[in-house]
Amino acid sequence: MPYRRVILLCCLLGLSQGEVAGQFNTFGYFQTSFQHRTSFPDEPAQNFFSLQQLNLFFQTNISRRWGAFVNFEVLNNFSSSRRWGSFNLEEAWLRYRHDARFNLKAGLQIPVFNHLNEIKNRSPLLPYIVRPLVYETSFNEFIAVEAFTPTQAFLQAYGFLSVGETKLDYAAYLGNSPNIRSQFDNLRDGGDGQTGVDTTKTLLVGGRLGLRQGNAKAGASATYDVTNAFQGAEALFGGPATRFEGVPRIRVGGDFSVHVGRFSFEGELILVSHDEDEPELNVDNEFFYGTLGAQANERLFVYASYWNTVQREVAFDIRTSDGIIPVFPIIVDIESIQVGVAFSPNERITLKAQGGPVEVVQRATVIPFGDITSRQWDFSIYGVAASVLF
Amino acid sequence: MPRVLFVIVCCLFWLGVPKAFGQFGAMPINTFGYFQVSFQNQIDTNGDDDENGFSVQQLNLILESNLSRQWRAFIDFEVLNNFSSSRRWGSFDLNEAWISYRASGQLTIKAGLHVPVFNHLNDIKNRTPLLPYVIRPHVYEESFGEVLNIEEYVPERAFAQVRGFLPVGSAKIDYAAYLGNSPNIRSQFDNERDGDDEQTGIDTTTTFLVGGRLGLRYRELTLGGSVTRETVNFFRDIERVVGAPAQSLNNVPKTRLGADVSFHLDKLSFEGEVIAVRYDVDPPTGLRPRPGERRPRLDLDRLFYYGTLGYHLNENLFAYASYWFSDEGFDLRAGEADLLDELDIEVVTAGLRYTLMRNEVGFDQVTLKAQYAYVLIGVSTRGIDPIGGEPVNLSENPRLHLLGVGVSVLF
Amino acid sequence: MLALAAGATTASAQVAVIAHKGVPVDSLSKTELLDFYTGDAQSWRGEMAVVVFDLKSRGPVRDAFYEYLGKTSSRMRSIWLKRKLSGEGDPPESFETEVEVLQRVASTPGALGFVQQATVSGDDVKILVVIEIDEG
Repeated sequence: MPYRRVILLCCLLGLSQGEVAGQFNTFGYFQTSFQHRTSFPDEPAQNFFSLQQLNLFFQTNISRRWGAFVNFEVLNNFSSSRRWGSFNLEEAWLRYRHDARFNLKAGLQIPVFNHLNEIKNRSPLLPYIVRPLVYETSFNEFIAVEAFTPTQAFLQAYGFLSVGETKLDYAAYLGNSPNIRSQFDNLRDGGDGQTGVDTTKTLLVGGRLGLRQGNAKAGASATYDVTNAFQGAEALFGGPATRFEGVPRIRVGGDFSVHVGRFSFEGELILVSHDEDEPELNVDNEFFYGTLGAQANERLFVYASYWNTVQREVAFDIRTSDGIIPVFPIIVDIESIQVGVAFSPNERITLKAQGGPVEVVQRATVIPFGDITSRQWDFSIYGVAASVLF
Repeated sequence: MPRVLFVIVCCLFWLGVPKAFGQFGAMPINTFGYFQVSFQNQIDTNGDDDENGFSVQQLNLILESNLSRQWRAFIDFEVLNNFSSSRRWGSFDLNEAWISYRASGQLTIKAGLHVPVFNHLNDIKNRTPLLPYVIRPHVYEESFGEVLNIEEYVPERAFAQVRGFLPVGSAKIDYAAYLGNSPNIRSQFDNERDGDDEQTGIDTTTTFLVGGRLGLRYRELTLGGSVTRETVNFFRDIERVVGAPAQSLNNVPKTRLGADVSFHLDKLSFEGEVIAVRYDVDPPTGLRPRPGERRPRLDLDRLFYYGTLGYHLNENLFAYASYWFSDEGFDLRAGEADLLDELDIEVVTAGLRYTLMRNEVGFDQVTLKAQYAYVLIGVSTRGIDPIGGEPVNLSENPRLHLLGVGVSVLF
Repeated sequence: MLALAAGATTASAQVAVIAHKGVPVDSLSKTELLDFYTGDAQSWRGEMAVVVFDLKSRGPVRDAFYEYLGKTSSRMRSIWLKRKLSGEGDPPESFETEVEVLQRVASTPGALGFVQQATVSGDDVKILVVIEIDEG
């Protein structure tokens, strides 16, 4: 990785080690793209320009050891008046750096999970226009990104220990459970509870252990939390109203990356499993991606990537011509091969092109009839984009 | 089409990409912006609709970075009407986020979200420190966005634009051409209505907004003609009412035509604009003629014009008088339906702008504004109610006195 | 010199439009000068970037210069504010005194400015245009 890229990575992660206390830095980046999706049954083709993502950072080194970092994220042509896209306070944390072996971060942050999670929204660092699906934040309206990876934590210790030429990375964190009240809940229940805060006494607990040696890196990640998202499933499976309250969820991940000469490979596996004691409720998720890349020269990177996502959902009331009927499980299998190029004429602009076929297979069991319905959509996505660091 | 666009966009980006930028971190970001706070008093001559109100009408926060001599990045967040997400007041938008490459005065390329050039005011309509008004000519008044459908009249967003000027003697010919999304953008309203979880903020069709402006500048005289073309899919309800087949009113072509003129003559200035909006709804798109009539009629055309005469009383004080008019309607005579719904707005206004303070570079930093407007509104609905089938004949003509005082601050 | 810096003028005063010695032209038309001062042109014949300097305070020299261009001060401010708020460029850097303008033009490649002609001595800068100050 060229030296300047390392500096860029540090800045984007808010890890700048400037010695000037009190200096306040404002910077950020945006990615604007044009994408074309081919048609598939029931859906005509689609062309769209999009200001896919914009991040605005404020960073200050309070002293040599203390730093603060704030990250606002704007997605999909955000406009509150038109109700497009979204605007989020993505990170706001204070870091104490004792030394490389021990850092403590307190406040809203994206925790370490596998290779991509904490840098998934640093679009200038990534060659993709559309990232491996569970990391594509701009898809979060139709892919349950948070079902695969933890997106928020509030306290994290991390660092690395050197053992000869090998570095042992560690990270451990705490955060909220996924049972957060939203304005949707208030509207649905006619309540006026405080939104954005955890409604249970449980926590997200997670971490990663990794090894770095030379140009290779490998790691394993895990999180544990409990979710109330399946409350109501007792209507399908019977049992008391509390049967599906507090369903334990475990995410397990493995990541590997290596650079050999001009070539690089990175890959990840994520398995999400739920309560082993409830075999009827199989809502487990799986995700895998692998990207093979070649740095053609200092400015040009080409890659091919394979993604496979299996997402299981439970839907209690699907509206059909027969009325409202329960459907379970809905299994959505998304598979794609994407190829692309990223060209960086300088440190501030990355021009990207990407495209490839996507296959979506949805299988669902209609509970009253036991029928298994299966639908398949095949289409392709092509895009060009510019990612600009400002 | 996608392949052609791909090539165009690639060419735009690759064209003259600078070979040497400064090192990362060497380009400071300029952060600046402006806001306008106002107090408005409205008196209805019938006494029905009197209102008073303070408002942070608009605040824009701009971040700008000169990436090199020719490349520039620009971001503009816009906050309207006392925005508060917790109270669900006003709005907060990412209004612009673009990168531009200026090859020369003759060619500048802009990529990313931006407000395109249309007539004189469109791309500067939200630059309140530039404008003398408390309330802008109403199709440009962003803070009325919830009341008036501004986007019907002017294009609000584009994503790729080329613009520049060509010198012809001591005159200049300005040009701008741009591409953007069609107006068929999915929103969270659509998701809630349809019970879907689709991605919002992006175009749902393969069509585009295409537009541009051609202008002439000679000394202090500016003239221009603007046009946009796009297709809209908003007529699902009309299809039902007139019994047209589903989807038959999809992709209705919409054209906006504009003309603008402005001049400065010593202390006197004038600027004016006309905007005409036309929907091409013809029988082949699915409407049936009424019994006994040869052609169906669905007229959604709109018209707007304004003219402002201004005078610099001295270096700090500017006075103006302005006249605005808009006419929009919904005229449907097809199948069993016969309905004419009209809304006319006529505004006679005058105001003062006083520069209280200038900043180091001489820009007006604190500007006081006062404006009075007499507003005549004509609302009428005639014909057969397409839902109940009853005859309807309603009309109202409210008259309003509006008084506004505001302060515009550049920070 | 101090008197000149304060903006004092004589009955036969002239304004000199000056440029750095390295610029690739020896004279400018009124249209070219206006293009530089409104930001329409930003380079010397597409080669070298132009760096435009202005005087901060109004006075006979500044007024004569903008009158020559056919623009009032408020009009120029409006043009530059529009450019600034539209992301099209920054206004000229401005200085309190003509001496500062002269020094900066002499030391900045591609620079363009204006001062009273009597301020210019030696060959530190190029004089591209001479404008008569209308005493009436």
